Amino acid sequence: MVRARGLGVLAAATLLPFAFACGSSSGGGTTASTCKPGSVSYVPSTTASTAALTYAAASNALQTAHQGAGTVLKIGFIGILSGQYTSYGVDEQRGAQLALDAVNAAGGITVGGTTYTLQLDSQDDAADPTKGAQGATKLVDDKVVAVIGGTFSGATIAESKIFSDNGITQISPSATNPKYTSQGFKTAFRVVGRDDQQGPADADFIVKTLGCLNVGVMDDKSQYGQGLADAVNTQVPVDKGTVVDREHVDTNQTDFSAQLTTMKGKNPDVIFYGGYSAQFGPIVQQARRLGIKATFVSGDGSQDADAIKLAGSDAEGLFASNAGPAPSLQPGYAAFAAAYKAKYNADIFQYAPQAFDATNIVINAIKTAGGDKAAILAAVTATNNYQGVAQGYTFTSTGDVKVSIFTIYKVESGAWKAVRAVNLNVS
Amino acid sequence: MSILDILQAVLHGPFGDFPFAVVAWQALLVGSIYLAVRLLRGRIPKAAFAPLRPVGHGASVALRNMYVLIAIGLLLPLAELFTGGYLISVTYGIELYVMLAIGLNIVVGFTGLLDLGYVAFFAVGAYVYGIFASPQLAEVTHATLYFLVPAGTTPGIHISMWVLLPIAGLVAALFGVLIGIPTLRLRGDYLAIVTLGFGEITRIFANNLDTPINITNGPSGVTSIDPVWIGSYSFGDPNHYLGPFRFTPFLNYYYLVFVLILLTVFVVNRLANSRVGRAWGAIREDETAAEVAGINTRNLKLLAYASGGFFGGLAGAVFAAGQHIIAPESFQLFVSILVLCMVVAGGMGSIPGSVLGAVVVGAVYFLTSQLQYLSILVFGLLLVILIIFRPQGILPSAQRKLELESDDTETPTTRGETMPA
Amino acid sequence: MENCLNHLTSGFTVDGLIQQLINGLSLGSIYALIALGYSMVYGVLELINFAHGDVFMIGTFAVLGVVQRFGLTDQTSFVIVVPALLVAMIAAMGLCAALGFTIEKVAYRPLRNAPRLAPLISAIGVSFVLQAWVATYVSANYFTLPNLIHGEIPILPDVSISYVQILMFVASFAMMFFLQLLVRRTRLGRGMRAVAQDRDAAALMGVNMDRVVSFTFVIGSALAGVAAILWTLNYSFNQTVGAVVGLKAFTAAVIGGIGSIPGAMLGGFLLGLAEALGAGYISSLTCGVFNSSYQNVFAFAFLILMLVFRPSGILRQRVSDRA
Repeated sequence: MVRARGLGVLAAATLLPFAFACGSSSGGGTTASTCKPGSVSYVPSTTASTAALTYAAASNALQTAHQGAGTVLKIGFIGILSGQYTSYGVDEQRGAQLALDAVNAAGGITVGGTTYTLQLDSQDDAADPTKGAQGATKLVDDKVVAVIGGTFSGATIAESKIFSDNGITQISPSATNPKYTSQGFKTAFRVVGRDDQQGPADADFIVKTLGCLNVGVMDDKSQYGQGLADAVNTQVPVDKGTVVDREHVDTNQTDFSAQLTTMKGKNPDVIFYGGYSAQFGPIVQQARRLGIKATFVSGDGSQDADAIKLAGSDAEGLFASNAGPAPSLQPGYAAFAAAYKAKYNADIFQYAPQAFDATNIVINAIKTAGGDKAAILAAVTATNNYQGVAQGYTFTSTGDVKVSIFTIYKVESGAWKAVRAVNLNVS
Repeated sequence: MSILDILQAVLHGPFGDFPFAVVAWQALLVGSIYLAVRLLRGRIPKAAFAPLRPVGHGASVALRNMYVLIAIGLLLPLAELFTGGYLISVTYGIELYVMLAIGLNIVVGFTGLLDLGYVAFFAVGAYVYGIFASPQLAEVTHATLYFLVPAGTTPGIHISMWVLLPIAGLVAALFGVLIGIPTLRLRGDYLAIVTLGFGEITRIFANNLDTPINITNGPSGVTSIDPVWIGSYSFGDPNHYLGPFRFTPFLNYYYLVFVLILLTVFVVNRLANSRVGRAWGAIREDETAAEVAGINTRNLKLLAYASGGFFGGLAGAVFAAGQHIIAPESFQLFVSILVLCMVVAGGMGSIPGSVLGAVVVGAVYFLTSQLQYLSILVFGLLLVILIIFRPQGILPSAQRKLELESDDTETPTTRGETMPA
Repeated sequence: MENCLNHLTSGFTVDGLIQQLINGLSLGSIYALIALGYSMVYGVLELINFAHGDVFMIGTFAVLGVVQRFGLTDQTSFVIVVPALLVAMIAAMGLCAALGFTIEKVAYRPLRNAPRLAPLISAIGVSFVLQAWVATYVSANYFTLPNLIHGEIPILPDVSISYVQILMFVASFAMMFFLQLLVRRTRLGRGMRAVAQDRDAAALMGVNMDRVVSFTFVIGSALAGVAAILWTLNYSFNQTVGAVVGLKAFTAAVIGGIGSIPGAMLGGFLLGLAEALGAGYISSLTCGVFNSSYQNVFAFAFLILMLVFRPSGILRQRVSDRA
């Protein structure tokens, strides 16, 4: 009994200071803000020229007919093919497969007298570095000439050493962590921009375009989420905004009310979340239930259909950025989307166009270099303004893409609509 | 790599090219050979090496298993050179788990302490190695120390593996003691949950210790970790050839871990067959009785954690060197559970059992991982079936065999017979 | 230093504190419901039912299935939502109860006399099976329910308590009440208490051990089913939700005193509070050294401290050699 009372006194003693810390202003922002998230206009669609790439919509029959004709050249794919992030990886795998189907349907590639049929060799890395390293080793054993992958940066970085050791070209359609290309591997390439570019683009959008100066930053303490959020956190003050609160959640977390309540007390106009849609959606839902009126912005980890699905009716008015141009600005997007739908009976999830383009860059290299790994690497390195579905690609000396494009999207009537394009030229 | 290269490497020492370092190493070498010869001459009784020589019928069965396993372990990767690097990478992965299983066996099998947080030691060892063999420490000290650098001029401290591997093990052992102290009074399932908690806490700290001082670099993990060097032979260099065969980094590390495992088995075997081992067994069977019999249960439990931690840390350090990056996501609860399953499936308290359990479970896990969740489903089923129908595991220790295979379903303490040691 | 003090006091409002308390308590009520299951099973069998959290997880998917069947959206009127949710609750409770019963029969009963570690391993195996099955045959994605019960009651200008949260409190107290009735008034309940006190003596007194254990599992799992529907109304879930929540719930059971029903409730609420307050204020209190991502660390730290200083829990008076 005495013990219980003792505990009670202890509890009261710890809670007492909180009671006295009352009265201080609940707002953390010091600058008057001209925040108008509702007033953004949409990126107009251009009259897209249907690309000269042929899509083998009914190519399945043709493909089987061509198999066995000529030498088979294997192109590797490594990405997330299982787990909760499967949608990302499978989407990219499909994009790559469509590129190969198109080539095979057209009779393969004939170089120097040999006709090559292309085959996709897929390995699962489940976003785990160890599994990725093993999958990469399998691809090396299978003698692939180039690899499209990985999906998330962590595993991609682990795989990059193995591909570098074996002289195999690796083009990632979605790894945005700067570290991937700064390791100095000659074989590491990517066809999208980086988080240290995406973050500032998001911050600029929030402060300059939306005019919202009081920003709350939240992340999921994952490699991608924190990296992106840190970049935003650094850029907002540079743009003369204020970061009123910085919160972290855990990737396994499902109850965000503690962090959101603290965030609410600081009164942000905009809350930026660095992380994936699996949590972004529920965070928005719970925030609205708590009465938070702030606008939510996130990065490419949330710019997909899952975010809308999970946020439910609270999805209207969400912003998220994505690497790559808006679909309406991608010259070959409509035709590609149609071919994708025809073969897989599903919509593009996110980075399928990038995977398609990456594969085609490799195919292009094979057209001049044949089946030799080193020659393919040289040809890919020398890629000069290759026009793909999404954009034109030229690689920098580190393997990044010269023209790094990000697009900000907004949810309107239950779908993502492009509102702003950011083009960065990297030398 | 020829015999001459090896001899040269041994004589050259791991302390770099600096003349004084080489001289010091050679003096050390000469001194220890001298001491060893003096000690061996009549000082150490022949019986100490007994486990390496079959002494009795029962023991020889276990030993024969051991020799077979060693032979397989040595030759398997060479055979895999023909089939390609993937199997070698999988074998290497399994091997790390073998080491973890042996370490966990000390805690769970010998001493009977339910430890569900073993991955913490693995993580601590990996991070110690990672921080001190990469540019990471420069973040901590804002200084650049060139100290025992084998090659390369990246900033940060690069301590050679000969020093760093044991240090990683010792730090993990210390960590084990720290975990052990608050849990001394806990038994059974409570201990399991608390150790699970410690495992998770370790991972969360690894994920968050990037502010205010960047120690672990948070979720991005530590990158650019040095590979292991012996002389000028880098284990991470993919271009070593033995005739037509290429020694990939995975193969290099495989043999390194193999040597470590032999060392581990030797040490653990000695421990198990000593008074310490018997005391651990007593604690496992009935802690109160052991206490009453005069065994210092506190110290022995801490020793169990420390030993288990040491070998776990050692494995973690090599893991860090081999993978050249480490991130908190590699140290999830699942690893602890998997290692526990290996120990249980193989036979608790039995070293060959742990090895075999790790190999079997690891093989199943890695080779079916393409099926991802389906493989875990089958895995779980097999686990339940195994524990119900053969709870003593695949290769039980002699004692367990008697305990669990007997028709008698009563617990040993109610049987009234004396248990052979 | 000044910056730190600034950090400390900025953003503190009584409103914020009260909101955190409400959130913590409502989350705690779900922990309490699941903790009851752990507590009861441990009291009777001295076994941590590792798979209990995953039974809860199956319950959440049962609710999802029903809601999807009925085609509920956030526009659906109350008249349809309420009966649909009742159906969902009964479905979840039923499925969880059946599952709990089966698990006990298949995976634990054969190991009743085996060494301590065996049922634990078996439970881990069952946990794997449940999670993997859902991930393979349902989906590994996260799910949320549409906003079926909207609306809050504003208490203060910046503080509100949602209807869902009220429902959580009411449901957990109601369940505890029913459980107490069950345990004190029915024969099987008496048997449970007897077995928890002394297994052999109860057997000698004619208590049917098998029946009692099955009953315990069924009731505990049904409670997990109730927790499941409450969870889905407010939070997201996938096949891993059981593991995390289950662990916290077990911690709650230990904190409150394992084997004690009011103890499980108390432990649940305390844990929920500790998490909410910890996550909300740790960053300010430590000047940013620790951030709110340490949320789980608090739960474990709480557990470890409890076990070191008061192993029998808050409400449990009995001294045992258990810890």
